[in-house]
Amino acid sequence: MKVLVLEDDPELGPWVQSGLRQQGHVVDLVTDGREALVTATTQTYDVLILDRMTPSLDGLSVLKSLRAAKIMAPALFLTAISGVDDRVEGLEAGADDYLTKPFAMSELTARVAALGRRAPQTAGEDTVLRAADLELDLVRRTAIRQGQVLDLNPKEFVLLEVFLRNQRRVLTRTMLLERVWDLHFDPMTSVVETHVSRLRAKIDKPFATPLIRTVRGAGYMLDPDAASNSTDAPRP
Amino acid sequence: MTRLLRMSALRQSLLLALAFVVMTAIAGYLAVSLISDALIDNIDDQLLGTAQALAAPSAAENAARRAHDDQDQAIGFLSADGEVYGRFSRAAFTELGERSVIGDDVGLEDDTWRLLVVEADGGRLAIATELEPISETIRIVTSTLGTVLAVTLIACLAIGLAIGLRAQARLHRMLATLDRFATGDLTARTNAENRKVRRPDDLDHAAQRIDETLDRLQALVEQMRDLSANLAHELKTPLARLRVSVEALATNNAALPQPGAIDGLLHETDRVIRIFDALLRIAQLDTGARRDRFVDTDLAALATELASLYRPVIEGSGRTLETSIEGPAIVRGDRDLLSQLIANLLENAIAHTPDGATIGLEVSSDTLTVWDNGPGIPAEQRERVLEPFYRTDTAGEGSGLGLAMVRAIADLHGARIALADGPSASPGRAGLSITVAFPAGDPAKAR
Repeated sequence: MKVLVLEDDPELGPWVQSGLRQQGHVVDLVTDGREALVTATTQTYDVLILDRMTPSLDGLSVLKSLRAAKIMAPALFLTAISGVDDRVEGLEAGADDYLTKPFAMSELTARVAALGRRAPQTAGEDTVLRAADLELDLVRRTAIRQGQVLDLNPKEFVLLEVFLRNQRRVLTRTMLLERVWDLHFDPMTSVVETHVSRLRAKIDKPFATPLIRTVRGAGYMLDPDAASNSTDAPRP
Repeated sequence: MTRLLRMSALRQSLLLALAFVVMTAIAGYLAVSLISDALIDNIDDQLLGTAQALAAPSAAENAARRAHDDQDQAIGFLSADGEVYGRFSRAAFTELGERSVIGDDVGLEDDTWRLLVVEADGGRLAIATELEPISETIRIVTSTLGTVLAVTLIACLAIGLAIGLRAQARLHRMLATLDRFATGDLTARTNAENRKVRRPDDLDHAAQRIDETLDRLQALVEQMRDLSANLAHELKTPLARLRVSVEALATNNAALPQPGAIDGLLHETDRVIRIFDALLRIAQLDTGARRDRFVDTDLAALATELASLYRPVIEGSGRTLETSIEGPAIVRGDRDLLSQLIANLLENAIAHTPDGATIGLEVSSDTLTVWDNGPGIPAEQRERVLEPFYRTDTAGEGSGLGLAMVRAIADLHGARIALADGPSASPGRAGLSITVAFPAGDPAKAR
């Protein structure tokens, strides 16, 4: 994917650039708001990563101008910790996601990957989601794997739906917390991990091949290919 | 002297005295002229009466001759053939009617006279009375007024000065208190309430307000002092561990670093970041800026969501979660912050109860309660656990800011926090119940 990064911090900018390049993205780094506006209007990008506080023109104004010019590339804001209102303001300006500094590179790459492929995913309103031998019927609210009906509670169902809509992509704890519970904070206890392990106990444990796997230091991934060729033992 | 002039009370009394002098002078002038007018009117009436009595034919001529000896009154007659009887000179008769004259001009003793000239049988009749008694009266009135004025002026200034000095002393005490506080004596107070007065005046109120403000400032300063000390203490451990790990990696760079060591580094870094994150959030919340974004939020729905999120963690650790959520419970607030508040209360309960404990989450009509049947908190520590970094135990991975953030969020929402024993308190296991009471919302408006 082609990614534009607007970040004026001399450490953070190159770090983001190299981190995303390692994931195979083409990354243009600009340090100035006006430059970002010009670059984003003259070239096409799959994802925009914008810092809030930048010289000459702040990220919020850059995004507002871009959206006014009908440039709808998904945008992610990098916000400072103390900006409690930044998330709401960013979303109002037309951002699709946000990330609070300081952040882990795994969190950023996971979110960029999710943003980049969001458009085609949401376009198709499938009523049945599939991954390998797992089938989720959104209308009848049923989950079936290898012909067996899985007994999921409503939250587990939504959690599995989020995994199925983001196959082969890393989902971090905070992404799951946002998408399944619509909660925006950093819990101290391992609430999300517990929910995922309960879900795994139902959809993976009784079967030979696990679908959901842990991505070290980042989060989880539902990988249908693993179910067909992996010999990975199911995790507890 | 300049110090005296600076005193507001003295300035006021001077101003008042000046105003009093001007007013009295005007009033005196008016009084004197009114009195003298009235007196002259009176004399004119007398003169006219005498004139009428004398105006009868030939009576005037006789009277003029007779009155020759009278000192205070002079009567004269100018006959038609131009002969003057009496002390008057001819000039006295040129003008008819009454007027004040100098005695010299009309042939009388040198003094002020009131002169009346009328037409009489066979000539003009002039009657004059000396004005000396009137001048005397006016002089007495004027000097009386002057004396009263002077005495009042001195009294005014003296009272003003006395009040001013007294007020100045009290003001000085307030300023001295502020000075002492500013130079670091946080216990400095004006102790205004010690002044034995039945009806306190505005200065007493001001002094009392200063004391109240200083109380709050002292609390804030001490809190800030504690906060910095605690923060430094809180950060020392993870930073020391970080340093040890980094040093180990640096000296040991030939061997591949242990994955566990790197995880430990990240974990400690995250902990430092989390402490700063929480502190910054609390500071941000204290400014109250976020209140503009408040909307009607269903506390019951939010509590249900968080109960579903935390139930597996709580039950997975052998604890029990009991919920009693009656909704909708609409409060004005910020959904993200309210969810953080509930989460912090639940995490606090998890962190401070033994395995097997019961944790309760209750919502009913604008009130949210999280309780447990753990060891509880002694009553005297309850206020302090809401302060940043205050801990009832020394252990724990927590940032020590969870309940401080609960309080900051509650304050922002105008909610009141009350800590009490848990509902199933028993000796040794008092339990803890934290109740957050929100201001009553509008139940008609659901989210």
